Amino acid sequence: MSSAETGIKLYLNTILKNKSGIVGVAMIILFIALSIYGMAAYKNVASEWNNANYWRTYPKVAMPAWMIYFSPNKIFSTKTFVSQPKTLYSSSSYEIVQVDYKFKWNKGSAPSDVVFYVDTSSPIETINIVWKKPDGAQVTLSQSSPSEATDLLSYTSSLDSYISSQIGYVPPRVVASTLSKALFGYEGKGLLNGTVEKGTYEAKITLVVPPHTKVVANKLYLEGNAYGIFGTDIYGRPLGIGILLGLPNALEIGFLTSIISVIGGVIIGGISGYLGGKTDSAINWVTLVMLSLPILPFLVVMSYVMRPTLLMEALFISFLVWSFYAIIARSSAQSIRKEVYVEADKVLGIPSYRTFFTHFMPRLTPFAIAYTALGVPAGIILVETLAFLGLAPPGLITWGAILNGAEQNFAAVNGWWWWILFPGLMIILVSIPFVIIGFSVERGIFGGR
Amino acid sequence: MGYKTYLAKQVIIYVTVLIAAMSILYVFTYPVIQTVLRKTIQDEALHFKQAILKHASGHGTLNMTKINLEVHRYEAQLISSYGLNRPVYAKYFIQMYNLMTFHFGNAYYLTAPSGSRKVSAIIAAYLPYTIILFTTGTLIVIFAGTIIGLLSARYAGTFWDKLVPTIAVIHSSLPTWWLGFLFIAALAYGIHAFPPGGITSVPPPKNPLMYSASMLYHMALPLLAFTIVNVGGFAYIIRSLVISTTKEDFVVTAKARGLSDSRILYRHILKTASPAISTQVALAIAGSFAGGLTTEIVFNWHGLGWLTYVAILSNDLPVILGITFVLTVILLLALFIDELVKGYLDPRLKVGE
Repeated sequence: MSSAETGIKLYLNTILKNKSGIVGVAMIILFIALSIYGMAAYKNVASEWNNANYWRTYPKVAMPAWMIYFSPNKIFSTKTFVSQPKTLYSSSSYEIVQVDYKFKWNKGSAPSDVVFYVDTSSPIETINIVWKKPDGAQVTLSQSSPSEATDLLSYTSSLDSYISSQIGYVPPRVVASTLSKALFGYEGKGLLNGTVEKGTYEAKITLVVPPHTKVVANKLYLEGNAYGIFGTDIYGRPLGIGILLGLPNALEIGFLTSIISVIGGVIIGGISGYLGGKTDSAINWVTLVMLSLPILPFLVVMSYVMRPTLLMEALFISFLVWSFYAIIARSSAQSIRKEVYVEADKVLGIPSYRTFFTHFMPRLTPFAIAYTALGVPAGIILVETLAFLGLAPPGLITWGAILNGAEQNFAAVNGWWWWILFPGLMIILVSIPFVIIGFSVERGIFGGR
Repeated sequence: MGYKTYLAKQVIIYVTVLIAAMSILYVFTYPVIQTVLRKTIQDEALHFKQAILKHASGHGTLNMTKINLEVHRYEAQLISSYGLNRPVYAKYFIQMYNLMTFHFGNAYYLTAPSGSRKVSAIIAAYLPYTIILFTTGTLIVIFAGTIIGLLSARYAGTFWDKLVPTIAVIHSSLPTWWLGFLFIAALAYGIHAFPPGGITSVPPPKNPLMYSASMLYHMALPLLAFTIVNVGGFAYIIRSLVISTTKEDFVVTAKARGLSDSRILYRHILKTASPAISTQVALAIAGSFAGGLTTEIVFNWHGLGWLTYVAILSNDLPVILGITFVLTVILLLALFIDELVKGYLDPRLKVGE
């Protein structure tokens, strides 16, 4: 082996020579670009991710928007309406303001929720909504603690009594979409059976506010059941943004764990195989100790006890997995030790550390590259698994945590497939280029087919 | 070195490795273990006090000072038996002794189906289900993986040869728990072909034949997910081992002797590669117990992994620590048995070279 054969150039060539290697490199570049874009474009969103209030006007568990093409009558995106507020009465102690919305509804199903948004310059005292259906039937909604955005769930008591006056009882598990059905269905026993009155609806919102209050903005949201490319979760958070913001975290922890553990493992294993004898036995014993610790339960215990940050988590994982790389590096160092040029160095009296750096390290580099590439997805999967168990580093957006949310909210039972499918697909998509590169370098070294 | 010397050396190595691994676990969880033990002692003292009160009220003599004194004496006795009043090194030895003798203490909240609160009883109740599921799964993976790996090593450039790298990529990039989650959504709740989870149907069938049939039906989806994810990795290992052995001189010699390809593969290559393959098998089985944690959670399979998760959710640390110890012992046992097999298969050791 000449030095040209062991240089970094060779491995780059091995990677770039075959088609899958190029695809892998291109995918990694794309992922890094996407991470940078996500961090720059959604910097503020990341800090609001766990703030349910921030997402209140978004449709809850909406499927991906492209599903609209398959069933435009049943699947639709959110519609919003703006109206001109009118002051009905004003005195020195209070004012009455009315916001009146008129809209046509001709979809085959009711919106998933209705959100009334009124931003006023001073706090609203009372809010009262009269909802008029196309056939003239009226529903009055009122609630005691008004805020600037109220969805149907905040009018549950009004709507529950309306529902029970029509069908005689209140269904056991009332969600926003049930309440919305009540507002859009025909009155009578079949109020909640899903048939929708088509035609012009009217919503009259009457506000009592302190004098000289201005209505800054107002909006009526008829929440759709489709949003964005990947849909939303139960809090209305768009999964597309969650997936995008999870990408830099996944890559960071993948790179960190992989680089730390592979470098540590290759150096320790390389020295062990190179020196041989008693040192080798001792290091091998330590490796065996580390190998015998069950990684996942141990990590679960550690994460549970310490709640580590991302960097600590990466160090924990590296601490537990370096032994795998040490074993492989040791066996290849052992085979290098038998080579003639190592013997020659010994005879010439060249110091052993120099032999190590000139003959062993260059030949161990391919292992290091191959296993660094393979270690990235391994690290990503471990961290996503921990996050799926609810043990993610606190404050981080991870796909595992999104999937954990899906499991906790029974996404499989409710058929919210987009919530399960896309975050998991991302774990696979991010892993694939690293695995491909790792395998192609490995094949290059071992000369496999 | 004869086989007996080899054996003795391995026993020493593995026992020391177990102690060292547990020491690492101990160092990391030392503060937690202390609180766990204090809680256990308080619990036991409380039980003791209640028992005395019950006994005393039956006799009509209720001397509180005497009872409290008795409880204190019992507590002090427990503290010294758990070694809480000893210096750190003594605590360490006591803890090691307790772990090695499977004395994990009492669980905070969890109980075994029999009602016992002993951590060892709880683990013993759940461990068999993990063994059933993952031993079956690993056997399927080994069987299918070996066949695919051998086919791909033998027929270069064919479908089998191209299949292995592809399924190996799947193995390294697909989390089993996610595949299981997806299967549950699609195959269990979507088309209702399989049960979404659990070990048997509820209530469990009385007839043992029906019971095992129900269990197999519930095992189908977890096994499918486990096999899809893991078969590629095993096939890839077999393929690499066989290909690297093919380059050895004795294979060239065998070819020169005019032996048939299948004879060379089965009688020469496989025989030589078998110690390495047996290592992989041992690691695969033992590793699957620990790695199946999430699979069990997703499929609601009440084995050790599921138990770990429940213990985490209910902050039951003695159970978590006990499980970690048991899993380490299982992994070391597998590695140890593998050493024995390797030693047995290695002709150099038999002749005492």
